[in-house]
Amino acid sequence: MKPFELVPFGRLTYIVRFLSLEQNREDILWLHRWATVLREQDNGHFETVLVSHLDVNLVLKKPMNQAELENIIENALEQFAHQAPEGPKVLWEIPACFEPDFAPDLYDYFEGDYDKAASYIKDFTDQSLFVYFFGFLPGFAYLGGLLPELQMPRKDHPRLEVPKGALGVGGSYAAVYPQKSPGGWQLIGQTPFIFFDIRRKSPFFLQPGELVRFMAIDVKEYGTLVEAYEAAPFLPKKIEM
Amino acid sequence: MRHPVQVIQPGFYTTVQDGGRKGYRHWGVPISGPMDHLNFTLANSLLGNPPEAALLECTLHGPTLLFNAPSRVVVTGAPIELLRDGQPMPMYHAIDCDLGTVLTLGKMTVGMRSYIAFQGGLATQKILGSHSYYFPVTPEKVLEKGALLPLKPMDKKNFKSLTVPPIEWIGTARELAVLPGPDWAKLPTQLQDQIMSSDFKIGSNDRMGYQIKGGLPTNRFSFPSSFVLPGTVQLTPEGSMLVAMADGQVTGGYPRILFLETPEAAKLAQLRTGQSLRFRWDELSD
Repeated sequence: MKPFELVPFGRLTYIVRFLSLEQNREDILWLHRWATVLREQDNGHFETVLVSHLDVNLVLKKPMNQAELENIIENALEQFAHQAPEGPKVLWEIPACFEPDFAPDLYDYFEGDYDKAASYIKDFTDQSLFVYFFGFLPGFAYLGGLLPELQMPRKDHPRLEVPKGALGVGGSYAAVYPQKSPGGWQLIGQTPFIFFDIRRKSPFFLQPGELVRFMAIDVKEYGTLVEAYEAAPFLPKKIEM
Repeated sequence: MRHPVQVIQPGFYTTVQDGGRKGYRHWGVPISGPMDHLNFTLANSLLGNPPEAALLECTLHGPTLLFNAPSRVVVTGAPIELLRDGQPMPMYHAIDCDLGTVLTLGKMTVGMRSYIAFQGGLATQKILGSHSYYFPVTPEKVLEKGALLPLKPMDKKNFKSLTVPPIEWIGTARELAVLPGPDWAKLPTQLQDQIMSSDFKIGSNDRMGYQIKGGLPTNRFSFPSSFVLPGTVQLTPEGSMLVAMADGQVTGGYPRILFLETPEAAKLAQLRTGQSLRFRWDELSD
């Protein structure tokens, strides 16, 4: 069983910190699968089970003593120990437009060098990104696994208004802004597919541990797609692996 | 009648709130719910409602409501001008509203937030398990002029005249009890001492969070994005503190230095920009 420690956070919340995990896909996937088991056990103990970085955060519905909670966690770990490790099973292909009007920071970042920007876009769309966790805003998925040469520092001065659907890069993560909001990431593209849209039958579609690949489309294709999406929001292409 | 409450004037920043949008935080959805849980629960309990029934949260200036059907309401929280058809009415007491009654809430003299509960509770649309307004999860951000609010039917069997002991506004707190946050131990002792012995001032604030300012040094602490829940006090690089409130983001990248339990966060929710504030240790912490 994986060793863990419990860090109290107020009287109703505990942080479960696994001491042997690292920031790699296998460990993150394990963490999310375990958190899902805990969430779906529906034993009435937890209001929230949320993975952030390498922590599993548990918000209790009612106060519980620490020994009792440790017991519940140990049991859940034991049940889970019999499950074989698995890799990502789903890849989402998400069209995005990277042309200058939709990528206000990409061309500035390369000081107007279109060849460098084009090579960045090629490398960016060649790789698949990994859904680490959600945070910041409803449906704001932290997409990790960016190659080091594709990482960009956050902007020194955040924008007061980033448009809905903007694709940004902040450090080692990429993300799609699910709503108009302030934001400090470098904007490199734009997609109609936001990960939280209350108009869709399933408002959320990405799950932590799934893969995402962005596909470059031109302005015309983007226009057609936006029109279709806004008329009746739908999901992008899902590939089962 | 389907929509008994008609909004004549919406007030400064009025929202529908219930116990919150539970079970969606792992998708990045804030919990929402009332800023001042104590007065929220009190308003419902004075009407015999379920403790988390949906009601109206008012900020600084309340709404004017017309009743198209009889109902019964209670107003709690910050002292606010309260008129029924032009006649002053007491807070913390059940007020009967007949067909055609106009209930006018004015300015708050002190404090920030008052609560209007309706017997049975509001029956506005539930999205992701909650009535609480939070744009864009709900199409509404604040109450709009002309809105029509449905009510749940009153339980006739439990309909009884309530006698309520007199309740006084608790006043605005100048000292909040805190628990150490998960990252408190990572601060240098000198900074810890400064935080627990300084006077601070309330900066800008809204339903997402309260900024608290006051002479702390700038810093370069770097933390991975971590879980933040209402009441969490984060230390920003500029040396101010940011207290996450009901609509606060579910994760944050600054050290989580202190934590306010729900009753203390409720006190903070009644403080205005410019008011002063100190922290003391929550004595119930073991």
